[in-house]
Amino acid sequence: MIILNSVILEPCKQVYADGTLVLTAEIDYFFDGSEALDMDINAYIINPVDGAELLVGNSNIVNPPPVTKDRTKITVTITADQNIDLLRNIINQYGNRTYTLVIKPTLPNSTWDGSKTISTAEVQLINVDTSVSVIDVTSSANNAEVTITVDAKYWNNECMSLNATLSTDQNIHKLSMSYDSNSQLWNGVATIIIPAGHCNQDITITLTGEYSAGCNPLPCTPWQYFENIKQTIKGPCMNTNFPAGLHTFVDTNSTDSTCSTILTANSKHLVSSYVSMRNKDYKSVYAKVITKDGAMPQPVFIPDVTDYNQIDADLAPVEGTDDFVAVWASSATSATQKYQICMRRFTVGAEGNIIPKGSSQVISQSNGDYMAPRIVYNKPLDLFFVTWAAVLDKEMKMGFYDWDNTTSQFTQKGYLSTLDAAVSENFFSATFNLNESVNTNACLVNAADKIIGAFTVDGTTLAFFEFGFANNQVSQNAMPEYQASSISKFHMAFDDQTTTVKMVFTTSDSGDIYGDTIQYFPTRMRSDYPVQPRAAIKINQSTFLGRRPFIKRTPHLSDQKDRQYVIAWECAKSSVHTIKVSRSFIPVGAEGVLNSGDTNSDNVRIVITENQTCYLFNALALDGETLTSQAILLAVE
Amino acid sequence: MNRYKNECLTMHRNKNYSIHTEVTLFPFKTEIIVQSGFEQATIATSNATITDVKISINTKGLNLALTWIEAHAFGFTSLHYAEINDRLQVVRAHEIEAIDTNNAAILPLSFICEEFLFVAKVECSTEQVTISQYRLSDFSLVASPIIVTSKISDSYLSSKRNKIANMTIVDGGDNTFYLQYKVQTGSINTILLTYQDKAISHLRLFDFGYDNIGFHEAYLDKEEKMIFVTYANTDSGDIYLAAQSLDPNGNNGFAENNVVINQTQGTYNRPYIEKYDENYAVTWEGTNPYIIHVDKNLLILSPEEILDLSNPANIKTAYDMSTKALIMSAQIDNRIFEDYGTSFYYSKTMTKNDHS
Repeated sequence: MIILNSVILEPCKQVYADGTLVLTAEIDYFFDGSEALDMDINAYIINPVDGAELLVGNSNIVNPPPVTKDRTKITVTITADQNIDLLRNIINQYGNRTYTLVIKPTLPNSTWDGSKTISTAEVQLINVDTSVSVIDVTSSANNAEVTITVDAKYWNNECMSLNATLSTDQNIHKLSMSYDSNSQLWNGVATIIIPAGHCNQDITITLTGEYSAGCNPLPCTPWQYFENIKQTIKGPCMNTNFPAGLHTFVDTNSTDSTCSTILTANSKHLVSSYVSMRNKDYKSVYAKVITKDGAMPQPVFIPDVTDYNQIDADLAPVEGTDDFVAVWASSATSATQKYQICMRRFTVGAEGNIIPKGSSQVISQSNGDYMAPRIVYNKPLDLFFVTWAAVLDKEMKMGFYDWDNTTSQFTQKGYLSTLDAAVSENFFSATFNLNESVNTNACLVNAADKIIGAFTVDGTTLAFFEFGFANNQVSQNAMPEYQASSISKFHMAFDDQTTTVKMVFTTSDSGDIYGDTIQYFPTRMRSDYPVQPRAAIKINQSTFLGRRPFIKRTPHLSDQKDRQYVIAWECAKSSVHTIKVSRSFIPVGAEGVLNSGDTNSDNVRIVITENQTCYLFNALALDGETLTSQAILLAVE
Repeated sequence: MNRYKNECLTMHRNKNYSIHTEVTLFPFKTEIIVQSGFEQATIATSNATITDVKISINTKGLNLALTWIEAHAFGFTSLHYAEINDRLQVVRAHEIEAIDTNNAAILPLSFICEEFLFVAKVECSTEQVTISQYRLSDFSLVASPIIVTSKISDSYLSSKRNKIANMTIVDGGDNTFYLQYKVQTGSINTILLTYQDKAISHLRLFDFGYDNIGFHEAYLDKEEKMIFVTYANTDSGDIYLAAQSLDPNGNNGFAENNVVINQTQGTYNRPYIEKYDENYAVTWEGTNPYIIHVDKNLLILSPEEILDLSNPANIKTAYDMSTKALIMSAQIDNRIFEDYGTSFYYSKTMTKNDHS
């Protein structure tokens, strides 16, 4: 008589190859006579579609009686020969997962009659390896979108996910997977909108596959997937038609001075803020547009309350829109005519009309004067970051602000913070004007979801900080200071390809212009930075000494692989000089001169589109003709 | 005639406790008197001048803890501690430390975490705030005092400092406390004190940076996660109320979070704020006590009320939840130059918003 003890399927020894399931079972039985083992084994798979048992194999097992009466173990293979096409469909569609196999034996002269289960096994089938292949990455010249298409074999859509991320932002784009029953493959598609994407931009998309922690882990081989896809997208080229040559941007019958010049993110309209006399006693800040088509509508007031003085307006374009946000210092809002920091959002209409999206809001407190505001919009955080100087407290203040579209107002996120470091005393004067200052600066640039801020400390030192938004509060992380024997006005831009800061400075009010690269390692503490040898490179080619250099990164154009930078400065004995340099500060052309002959041309600002470079600067003469008072000129190359 | 100075008023385990000092001139002595309802007891008597009596509640204990300063002749002062039970009996009293003439310290504020007593005080010599940690069992000093770096406002060193300067500590729950004092520029710094692993750490969180801040008081509303600061403007004599959300996920407003709350013009001083039902009652000193009710958005809910008590000073209030009544204490007929009253007031207020 034969007594069947067990039939065991090892979870990691069951093979599925070329559409055939081959099961390996260990049969353990006892016999007391001379009978041969002759039994049938039915193998079933639990169909993931409906949970029902599906017969996949039917095998007759024969084993001659061994020499001695004893317990015997044999290993047999069962080739699945039932419902072959149905099984193939199931495995193609349900992919790499834990399958449940059930064994029901039929043994004569026993209770095993083919209806009872002797074993149930949770198995991962060998050779059912999920593979993902990228079929296509497409982009169009009409928009800044890229669509990624993949095929996946043995995809388990319940437990597996495939995410695409762009190296420049934190957004996760989950590929939406669908099963194609004709090809018996899974197809996945995701469309990624590239922030401020433009023509010929190099992007890196990272595909990451994960097995959900919510599913039981695979018993044998875990699954994960990682691939970097480097691609140059077509993307829209934003050509502009700003009026080429040298022109008047603003010329009133009093002094007009540049503040901040930006391009709106979507349409590349040029917007510049400037200070002008509102009446014979008081100044205010204005904004003026040149549309991408070259239209130049009349300027508008930035503040809605224009009593007393408004100065020092800084602008930040809002990515994904034609909006911009202005911050400025105003003595109109406090009872004692002290300067407070105001903030207001605008949009630029198609015809270049500037439309306020809300009222001016005071964001500073009111103990003494607050000066020198600077603003950036950080797209990954979708927040505005503003810094300013508190004259009485002699501290730099800063905060994150969120825009509430329903109330058309900014709200402060977290506490109003204070910079944990001393900066130049020059900031702490009620007559300080950051846009006019010849030796002091505060600059903010975005670096992914962080902001790098740099502040003049004294005549030899610049302080660099990494600001972030953690636990709903401003986080500040000091980076190494930059020191040289003499540093006057500086300015900086962020190199997104090398994640470094490109910084230019002069040694004095009338000195040579230098450029240097500042290392940046996200979230790294100051003490963990490697020592950086200072390698300031002289920029100016002519012997005219200059001051107040300004640096702007070029957009990624088709004919260049690396970022380039345009640098401009003013010369005491000449006018505004310009030069284009590589990211190593090597000049890639000759030094240019704007508005030649006017030694009063100064305080230059730069914006660069994909086909034009624009300089705005203050001047007392235009093409050799003396102006009645200081005007703002525009030079477009 | 005896003179009275109101010191504090608090609710503890459903009873309100009023504490004031009483000065007897011939022979000179100062007493700390505690009252709860109709009960009254003398906690301490000294032939020195007792000032700055503050209550700290040991949240795990049943007793009320008090600290105060005794100012002896020749500028010699000492810091004292006492615990009283709910029958107003002194169960423990101790001189914590003597403070010598060269290191005058004022405004000691205490709080208790586990087995430690923490005392924050303004050090007049270094012009900084320090926080000392004592073992409650024997008042031995644990480690060196913590020094909060930002220098204090000159107003703490003025002979008028009682009227123009204050320091506050409010309990934020979970072993956190918010210390507020005026720095040299006149802004109020808010320092988060966190008790962890038998020590306290401090972190400057935010400022209340407004013009002409004088005497200030704070109220921390744990439910609303907001801290309110009310202060007198030393220039205009107005009473201001400012607020800051402590909710890490909350949004914070701007300038409108600092508003004048007195409705009539006057030279007002020393406001006090207490939660009153769902809203807040702010009281302050004028020729009479003034009360106004405001909500968490700093909106004024009722007309300003004037109580029929002349020249009050050091007004304190406490909200009795069980009777829904606002208790008030103050010294009355205050002698403006010495900041003592000729009588003492301690009662349920007659505010129109009292629900009983």
